[in-house]
Amino acid sequence: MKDIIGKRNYFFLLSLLIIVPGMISMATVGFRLGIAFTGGNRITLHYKSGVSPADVQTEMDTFHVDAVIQEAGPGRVIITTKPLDNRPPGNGQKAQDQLIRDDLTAKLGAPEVQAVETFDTVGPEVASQLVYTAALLIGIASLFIVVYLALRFSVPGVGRWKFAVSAIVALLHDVFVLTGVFSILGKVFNLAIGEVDLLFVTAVLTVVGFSVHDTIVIFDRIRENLRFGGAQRLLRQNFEAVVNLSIIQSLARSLNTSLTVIFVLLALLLLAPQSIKGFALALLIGIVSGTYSSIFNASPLLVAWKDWESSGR
Amino acid sequence: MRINRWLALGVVLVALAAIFIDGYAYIYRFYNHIPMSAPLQATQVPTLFGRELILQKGLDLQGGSEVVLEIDPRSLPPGVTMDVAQQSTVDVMTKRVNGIGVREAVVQTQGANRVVVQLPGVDFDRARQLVGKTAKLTFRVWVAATPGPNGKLAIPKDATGDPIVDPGYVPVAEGGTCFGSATKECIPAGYLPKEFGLDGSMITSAVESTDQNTNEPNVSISLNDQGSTILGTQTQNMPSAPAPTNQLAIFLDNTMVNNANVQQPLTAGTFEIHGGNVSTDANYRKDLVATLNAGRLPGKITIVESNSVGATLGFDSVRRGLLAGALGLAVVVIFMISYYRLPGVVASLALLFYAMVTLAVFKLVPVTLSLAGIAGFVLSVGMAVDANVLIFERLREELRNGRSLAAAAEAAHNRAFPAIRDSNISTLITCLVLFLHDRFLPVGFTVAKGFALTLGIGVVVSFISAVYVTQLLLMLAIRVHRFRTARLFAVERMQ
Repeated sequence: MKDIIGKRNYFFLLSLLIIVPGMISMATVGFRLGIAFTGGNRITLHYKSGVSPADVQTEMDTFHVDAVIQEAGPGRVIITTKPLDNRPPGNGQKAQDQLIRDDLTAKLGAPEVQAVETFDTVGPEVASQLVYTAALLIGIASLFIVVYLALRFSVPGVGRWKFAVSAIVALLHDVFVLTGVFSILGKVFNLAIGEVDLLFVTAVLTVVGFSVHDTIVIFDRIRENLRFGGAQRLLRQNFEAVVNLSIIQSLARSLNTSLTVIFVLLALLLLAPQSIKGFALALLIGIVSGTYSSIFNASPLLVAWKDWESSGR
Repeated sequence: MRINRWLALGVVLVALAAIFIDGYAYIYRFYNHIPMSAPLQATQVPTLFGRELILQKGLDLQGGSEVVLEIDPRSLPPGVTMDVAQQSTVDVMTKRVNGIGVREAVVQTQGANRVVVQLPGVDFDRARQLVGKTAKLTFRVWVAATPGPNGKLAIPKDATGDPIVDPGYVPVAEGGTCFGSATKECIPAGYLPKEFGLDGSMITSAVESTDQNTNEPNVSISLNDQGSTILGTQTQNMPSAPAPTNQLAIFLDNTMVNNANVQQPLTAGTFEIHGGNVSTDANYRKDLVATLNAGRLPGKITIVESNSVGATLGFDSVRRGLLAGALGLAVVVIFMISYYRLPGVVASLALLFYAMVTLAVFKLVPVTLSLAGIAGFVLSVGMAVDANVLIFERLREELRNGRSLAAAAEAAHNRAFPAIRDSNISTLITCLVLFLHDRFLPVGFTVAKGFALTLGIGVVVSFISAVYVTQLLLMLAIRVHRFRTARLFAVERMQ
């Protein structure tokens, strides 16, 4: 039988190798923030043939609105700017944002289609509240899950909080892997897919749910083996062996479930519209991390904690 | 284990109901003699007992605009609380939106001081024109004013600090940006507009109309008795007064919509607004009438957030989302059948049941499907398989331990159940926090709500489908003697 628990320090190390660079990146360069967090405008432009993204950049630079152009599939670019004035000065004069849209349509827009396909505005005040809300939501969701786990997983000899807290540590692991990887993708590699927007926050919250989902399945096996391990009564004295056995027993399930979800997410990543590709990637990273942390972090942590406790007494 | 006949009956009934609801559009077409492939017109909505049975698409999927408005607390009249202001803003916006006949528009409050307006099929400029105005209509006359030390007029400011006349109407010489030459376009140099007690609340109706002499389109406004008395008194001596004191200006918010010479005292209680956008833009006229009839807002509003998506892009998103879902489902089915054999086939059937029921629930609730919602649905397909995987792994284990097929199936079901229950509840907790967060937090993530709702429905239906439907189908399958072979259950040997 494979010994996963025995090699736990290697697995903890591997996690740290991913998390530490991610944390350093988050602390130093932060995230490539979307307009939901910075405030600003975003325009998807469908331009006519013969126009290049560089032409769009040149045209936008004449307005002095800090325009950033990124390609979004054939014939399309996404233009991000600082917040544009949306109040018309009156007397039939156009507001700044409308002037820019009309200019783009007239000079660069593809004929016979809607040249400006999407147009989003976020005021800076909305944005600052969102960061706080996002962090709060993750906290609230985690708190409820800890309480639920504490109620469900109370095993004599292990106590009720070790399961709950270990699950939450694995959860935080996944959150940090995901946010760290996105910080590196967006800022260090400067990739558009690493942009952090509202869907990314949704993805993080979903990973919170999934991570615990995965961990629970293994914990359930541990709980069952500890309670009903009739022939394995001897094992009960050896907590480490029980946990290792439980991991091995649920290994096929953990991998198969993750595989099916990964198939679905890969389909989304390949086929979905540009606007949710980053979302699909975030979920993919989260699910892979969630599977890893359930097997190699959450349960080994349980053992490490119990060891530390018994050696301390 | 014996098959629970009531459970079997329930599953069959639910499946039939789901097929009926999912395919209702086709039943509706057949009943109303509409060709099966022709697109449905706006008036042809499949309804059952007065309830629409269609998949509601969000703005990002069908195209349209969403505008988030914030009410400025400083602009509220004394005694009007933000709660009241928010509610009456919703009422006014609903009237405006209904006034121009937008189908399935949504107007609702958000947080403590915001209102969200969603307008399917309406582009952003039109949306802003319709909902971006406070619609405080005021009537003003011109009063000579003394310039400040710099020789320019100081335009007074309103309660929120904005000048009472937009800079586009203030002549360049006075520090504004108005380049117009005629007095109708700019405010007259050296004069400030002054209200005289007549305002929008005294309007009884506004209608689109045509000038009898010039045949030019205009907007005709009727006043109540109080309003027409005030207007009559004010305009009594104006026709003979020197310009610009013979002019009556009408302001919508801080925008001057009309400034005209008073030819004779206005005592009839009706008058027309014409010129500028009113004469040239049919949508502007329509929106102005809807805005005036809906009444003014209690306080000043600003657009803090807006999103607009073109219809073509929306259609493309639906197609790609469905394609991704179909591909994902196909790969999952192939994987399940090749790995688990007969149970894999059973799980695939359960997955079909799951997809049908979820779609039916989406139509019944109804869930407004956004791009994030489709992602939630596609993702829950992957999740739905998880419970099956749990049960089948246990089944293999029990079979390897030498149990009979029936006993193994029952044991697998019972032993996998706590893990399925606890893991699904933890996902549901996340869904609930996401779905209800705007009740207890000041800011709402609209995307997260749609995603949480579809994922949550998916989790509940998948739980039922995996625990009960799979079990039922598996029990039926193992009654067939030919199916009871080790090969079909992907184990080495079987009792």
